[in-house]
Amino acid sequence: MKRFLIVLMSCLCLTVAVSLAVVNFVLVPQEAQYMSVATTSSENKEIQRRLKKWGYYTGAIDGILGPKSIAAIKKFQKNNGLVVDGIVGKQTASKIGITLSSSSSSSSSSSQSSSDLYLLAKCVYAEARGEPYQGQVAVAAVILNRVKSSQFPNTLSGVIYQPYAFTAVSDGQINLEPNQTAYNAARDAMNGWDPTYGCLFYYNPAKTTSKWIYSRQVVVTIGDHVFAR
Amino acid sequence: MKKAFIITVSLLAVVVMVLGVYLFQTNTVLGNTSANLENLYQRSFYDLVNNVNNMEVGVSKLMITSDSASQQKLMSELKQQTSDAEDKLSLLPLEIETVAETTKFMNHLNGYCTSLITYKDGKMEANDLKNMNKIHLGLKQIKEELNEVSKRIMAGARISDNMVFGRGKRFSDNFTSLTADTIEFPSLIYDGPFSESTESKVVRGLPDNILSQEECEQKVVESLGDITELTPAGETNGVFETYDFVVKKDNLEYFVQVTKRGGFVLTISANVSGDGTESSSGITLDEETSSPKEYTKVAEEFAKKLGLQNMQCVWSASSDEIAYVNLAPVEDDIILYPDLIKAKVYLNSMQVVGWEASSYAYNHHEREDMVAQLTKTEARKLVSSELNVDSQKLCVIPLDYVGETLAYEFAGTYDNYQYYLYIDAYTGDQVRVLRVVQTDQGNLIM
Repeated sequence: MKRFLIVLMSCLCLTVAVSLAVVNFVLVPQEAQYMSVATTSSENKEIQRRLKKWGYYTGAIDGILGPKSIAAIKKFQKNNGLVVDGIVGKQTASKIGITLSSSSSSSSSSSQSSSDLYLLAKCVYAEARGEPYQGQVAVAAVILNRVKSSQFPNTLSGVIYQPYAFTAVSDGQINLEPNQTAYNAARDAMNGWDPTYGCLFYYNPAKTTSKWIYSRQVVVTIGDHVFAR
Repeated sequence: MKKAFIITVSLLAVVVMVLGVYLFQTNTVLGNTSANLENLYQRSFYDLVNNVNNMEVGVSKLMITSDSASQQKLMSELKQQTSDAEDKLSLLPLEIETVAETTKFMNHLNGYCTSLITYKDGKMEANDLKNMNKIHLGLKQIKEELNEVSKRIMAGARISDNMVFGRGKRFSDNFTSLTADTIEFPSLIYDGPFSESTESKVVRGLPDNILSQEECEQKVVESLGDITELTPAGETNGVFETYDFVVKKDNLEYFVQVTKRGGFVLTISANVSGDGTESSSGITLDEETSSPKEYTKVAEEFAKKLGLQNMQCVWSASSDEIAYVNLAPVEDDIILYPDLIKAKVYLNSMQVVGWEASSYAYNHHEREDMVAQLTKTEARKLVSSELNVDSQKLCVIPLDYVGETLAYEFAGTYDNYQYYLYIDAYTGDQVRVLRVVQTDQGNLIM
């Protein structure tokens, strides 16, 4: 009896502990991993090139410090006794063997459009990571079409963070780190690719609860998403 | 037995205490967060009310103002208020279908003012006054609706309750009267941002003969060459009607759209580079094969294969594995920028893996009357002496909102920046100036 009670109590304690942990991890949304990128594209490429040569990095040399690059930078920092933060500051840069340019007017405008790309890639990844590539390009294109449309906010962030516009934004998935495919899709859409030719809406017929969305004219179905005008 | 009982009770007490502390903490955090959210919403709402009030007053003042300078000033203020109102409205937790019409109205009002300022120096004709009257009516209605909502907030309604109780309930119900059913939004006809003419384009560049799916399939095979697999992937029925195909070639998956009208290859897209689903070989590229000369040739050859004879590279940028090449038709030494085609070349295989020809399909047509009124030297004199001009070409460029014009393009540098400057070949006006900006994604023009 006594043993039984003790076992029972320990089980109870364990359950509480585990559920608290679960609540903490699941309900508290993942924090956005904002990186303050103070490096320019050509510097990023040089960083990637050198890290690749030394075997830290295996991805493409595209000038974008994505998750793979950051992991490589961290590994490099660890091996060289630097602060492991995944950010190329002055010290890391000098260890890598490059000098960072001071921020000039040209680099500020570069970070401007690269934050647009990052934001778009995040939204694509959150909304459509399970979709075929052209489906991801189409989602990115719809977001950009909304920026141009009079019925929606006129900035990229305005469109993405418009309340109720995207479920993946409402539930915090937007803060997941996008993968390379999402970046590629976002970049293609920014360069003008739009397989939907001006669609403003998309939905997954298996998941949507809005009746209103069915009143829109369907243009094309790509993967699980129906795209409409 | 007794000992066991005590242990049980004390353990239970500990558990209850831990839970209690945790819940208290969570509740406090949640309470603060929700109060902060509500405050942000309320601030946006009151800002919106303020902006709409100012808009209403601004329009009414406009109607009794007659000198051009004051009109322009009032219009600029109205534009600012309108764009702020649009911004605040988009911050409130309201469904798209609820705010879409009001947002459109505000954007159109903004565009209308822009067009009046740009093309008429703020002067209003009889028709414009009529429009302003309708706008004023619409604004008064919006103002009344917002006042109603305002009363409810004062009575204790919370904007953020909308989030808790789900969409389409509670707070947003107050806003359903912002839709076109209750408010008469005037339709404004003007040439400017968001005008109907920019939002509904006409397809001019496609032949009229309709092809079958099999014939379109044949076009895909002809254009892409050695393909291993071709699967029809439905249709797209929007501005362009296309047959869609998924094609496998060289371990890559291509998505291809071919128009039913004339079997024109409109879009090709494939995901290459990086660590996506495709295998990334990570090979270092041979500098020789990835030179701009080589990849622009690849893109131009591809255009020829599709039956587009006079396409020339007008812009290119590469980022290690991918090169973007913009092609434009050149007729009688005139570059036709409205008919731009964008190509993506994969440098590892020197193959075209992306093609975007919707602008061409929209705009390409026989252009008549392409004779410049200004001579080369006359146009050159109109360019600022600060710019070190490297080249001068004749081209057709799209105008900001509607139409296009023949223009002289001057490429040059000033203070280490590269610029493109366009002078209208009929009027001599400077139509556009672009600066080349280096970004993470290659060179951009702004």
